[in-house]
Amino acid sequence: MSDVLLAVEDLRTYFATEEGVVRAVDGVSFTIDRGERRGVVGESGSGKSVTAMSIMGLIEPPAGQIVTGVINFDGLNLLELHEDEMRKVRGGRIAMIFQDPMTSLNPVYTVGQQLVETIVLHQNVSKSDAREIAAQSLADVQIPYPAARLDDFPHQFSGGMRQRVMIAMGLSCNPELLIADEPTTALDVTTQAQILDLMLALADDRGTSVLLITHDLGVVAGFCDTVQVMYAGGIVESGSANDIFYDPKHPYSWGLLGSMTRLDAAQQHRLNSVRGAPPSVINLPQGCRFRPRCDFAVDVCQQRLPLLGPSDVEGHTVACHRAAELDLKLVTPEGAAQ
Amino acid sequence: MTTEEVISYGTETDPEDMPEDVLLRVSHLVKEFPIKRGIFFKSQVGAVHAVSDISFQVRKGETLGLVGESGCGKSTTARCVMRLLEPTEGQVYFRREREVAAPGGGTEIVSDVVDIATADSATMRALRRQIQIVFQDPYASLNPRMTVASIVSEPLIVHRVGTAQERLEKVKELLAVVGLSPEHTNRYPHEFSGGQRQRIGIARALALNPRFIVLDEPVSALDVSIQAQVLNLLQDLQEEYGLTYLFIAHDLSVVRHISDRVAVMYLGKIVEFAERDTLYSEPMHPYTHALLSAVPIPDPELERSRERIILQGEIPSPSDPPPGCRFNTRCPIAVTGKCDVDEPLLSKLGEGHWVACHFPAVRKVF
Amino acid sequence: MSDRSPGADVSLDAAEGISAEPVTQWDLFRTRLARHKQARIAAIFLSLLFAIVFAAPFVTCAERDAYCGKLLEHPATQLRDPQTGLLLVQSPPSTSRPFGTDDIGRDVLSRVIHGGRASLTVGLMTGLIVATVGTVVGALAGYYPGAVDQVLMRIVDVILGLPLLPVAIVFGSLVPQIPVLPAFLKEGAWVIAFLLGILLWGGLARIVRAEFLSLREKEFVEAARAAGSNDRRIIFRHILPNAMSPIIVATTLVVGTAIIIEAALSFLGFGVRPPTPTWGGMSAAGARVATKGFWWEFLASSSALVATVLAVNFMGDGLRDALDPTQTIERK
Repeated sequence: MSDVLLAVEDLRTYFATEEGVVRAVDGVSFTIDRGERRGVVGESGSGKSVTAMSIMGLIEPPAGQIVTGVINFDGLNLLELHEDEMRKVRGGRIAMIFQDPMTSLNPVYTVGQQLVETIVLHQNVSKSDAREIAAQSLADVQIPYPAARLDDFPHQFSGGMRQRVMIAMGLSCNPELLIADEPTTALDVTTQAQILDLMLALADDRGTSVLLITHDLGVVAGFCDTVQVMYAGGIVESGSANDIFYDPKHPYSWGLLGSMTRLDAAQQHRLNSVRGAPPSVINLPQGCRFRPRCDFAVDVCQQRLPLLGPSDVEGHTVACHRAAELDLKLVTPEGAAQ
Repeated sequence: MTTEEVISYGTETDPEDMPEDVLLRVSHLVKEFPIKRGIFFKSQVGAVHAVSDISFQVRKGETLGLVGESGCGKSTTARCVMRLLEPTEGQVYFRREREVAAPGGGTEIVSDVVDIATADSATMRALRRQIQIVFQDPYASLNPRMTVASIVSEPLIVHRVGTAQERLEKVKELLAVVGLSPEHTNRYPHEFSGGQRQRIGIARALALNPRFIVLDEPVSALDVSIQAQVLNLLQDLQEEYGLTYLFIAHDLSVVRHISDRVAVMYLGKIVEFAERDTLYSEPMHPYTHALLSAVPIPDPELERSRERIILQGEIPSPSDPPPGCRFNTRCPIAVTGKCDVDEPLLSKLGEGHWVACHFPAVRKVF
Repeated sequence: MSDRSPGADVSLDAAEGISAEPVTQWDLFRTRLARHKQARIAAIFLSLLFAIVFAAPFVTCAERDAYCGKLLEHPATQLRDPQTGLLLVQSPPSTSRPFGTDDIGRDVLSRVIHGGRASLTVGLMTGLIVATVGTVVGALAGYYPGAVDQVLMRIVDVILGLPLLPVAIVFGSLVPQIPVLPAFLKEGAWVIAFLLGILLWGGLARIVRAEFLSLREKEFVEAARAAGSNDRRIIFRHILPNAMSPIIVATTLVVGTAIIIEAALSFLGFGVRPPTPTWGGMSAAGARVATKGFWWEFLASSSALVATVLAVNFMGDGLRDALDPTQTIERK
């Protein structure tokens, strides 16, 4: 019944730096169905953004290289496409919005010029038609006086409005997949609510699949159907939002949830912090990459890297040697410290 | 609610009546940044009203959370309290402790109240031993050209505490207290991760054994798991050393976690002020409602069923704040002719619960 | 007291990931500079040049007519043919005289090496004056906005508005007549260095001011202020060390500029007076005879000039890259 739009298989994206090879994404596999909204959560350096850049074909050799992997988008292997074919996919069938809208908009052109350029590039329309589509897409993202504001420059928009422009630009060609990389991180919380609300409505309306990359588990909870948790270049757990939030099976996801301060926390309790810091992606630890920070690690964790495998719940996969025996729901933060 | 209560908030300008249990009293604080034009003879053409007449008290040993979105004036308030900025108007009373010669020989510690806003530089210098600050950005707040030892011992050197050897010992002790290895004294900041750097910043703030620490968004630049570590550390330190915190943040869930009382700011004004649990369970100001409803909660079922109050429009510019209630341009319940004319005063609407709204009402937001 | 010290749940773990050996800023700087190939070659060239130029007086004869037969001749010595006793005028490069002789029989190699002293003195002294004055003025203007800034920056505007060559020519002839100046300052190279120093510090002052304006708003400066540091400590301990990269780079470029301007002045006949050799003066003399086929004096002196200025600029480039904080190897 599922209708797979994007299938990523064993993606490995490495970067050569002065200090050594950074294995930013190291063996990542997942799929996104049509209309699915998938969240990618992880801390800085977990490889979530590089995964998105790899899909978009924005990894720049020679520094960055996709070493192995297949990115199958609706029957096309994106990694084998020619650059000019890829250019048609990028911005047309797959759109991306970034954290900082100011750097993704060119300050010397009006918003209208930039929108029209994108539309003309991907759709077979005249300039004047493109301008109408552009005005309509600004109206879709609820920018007041859309036709007049086409002639404004990016700096004349506020931060929230600029992110709306980016969404308008992303959605102007009716993409099948929208990749949003921390789209609301730079915004205030009330503006974030506006933007998420808008993205949710637009994606729902058009049946667009969304890959939402964020460090904020709260944003994921409200926005996504499915979630994958990334750590040090790999996916450690993947499943429906309810599975991940109510029944985390990987000690990292569990720790991450426990370390969050919650608005609805009834009483003050000591946070269950994950000890230590994420490993350097150059010198990854032997075996399970989370082992040095894990409260449940045993000998086998040091010897073998656990692979993402099925759990007792359908569609919920986890990469932990002890997933089957641990019942993290029953472990209190205090109990874990032993 | 009596008229007396309405006008009494923050009008106590006599330092003598500051209660013993109050460490800091900010009274009618105003900070405006002039906007100047011209090349040779600059003339003032306007002002950014960053903080407009706010008052609050911080009790000994408590954590007061000051929360609001960017541009609300919370960081400016922090800097005025620290006298890193000169307040335009108002007082910042601090109950300092001083060692004085006792009548029968030896020394004793006496406490008196001093106005930070007008203190002379010698008084201010001495006060800086008791008031410290931790900054938001662990990358910008440590001098990249200095070693960890010189960064952490900076306050000790400036206040001529101990010998070089004693200072080094103190640095090592401080590093251990904040969970860093004492061997790292001769390292440079660029060798540390964000969380580690923030610990160095905390060690520096602790160096002079302060009584009061301003925490200006201390965890907002950190990853979630690191945030939790630093929050736990801050709470442990507070318990251990009896510290009083003024915690500035934009993240309402972090503020709920760490604060005893919370003040919500919007466009240079405090709009609501209450005990922590009162504010989160019975918020009365429409801005607080919107703010709380906008914060995502990591609970999918709850999130899907929550009603979100989506504010319309943008925050007005602080150089041209709207007349009347500053929130009236975006308020879902604003009444034309009232809210855009009369400025609501902060009024007491419950035990320790103050709200600046003409039409306050409790609303559950989650 | 609680049973654990604050931070105990994370102690040592929080210290993970720190390498065994401290990496200082200086280490990073050296590594990056060593990686910059042009700068490395330039550095070697400049060190050799300095050694030769400033050692030259010690290996030549003090007397101009002694014709000592040492490695280098006195720059004013006129060479004669040992057999005929005639002046060796305009003799082309040979194995014994690799750069040939000039129109009155002086050894061009010796003169190029001795002439370098004027160029390098002007370059270094100007750089020193510019670095000092520009840094002090820029620091004051950047740290004390308002009246101090206004007054200093208007002075900078005036200085930068002066036409360089005419002013240098006019004042170059006036300076030696100032009675109170010590004698050495009235020598050609020192006069020019002094003048150029005064004329060229404006650009650096602007750069330093901009650095100070941005650095004084940094949180680490606020932190120092919150700790109780006074202005002097903040300026010298916190801001200046962080502004060193642009100061060093801009000063290097000023050194190159000063060498060229000195050469231009000498070429026009307003710089260091003959018979003291300078690259500019030799280029002028060489250019007059080059059209008649006696090309070697011009080629030797102008090549020395070009090579030195290029090397100085490459050094500047290398320093800029090595000091660029965005190239800092950082773990984030």
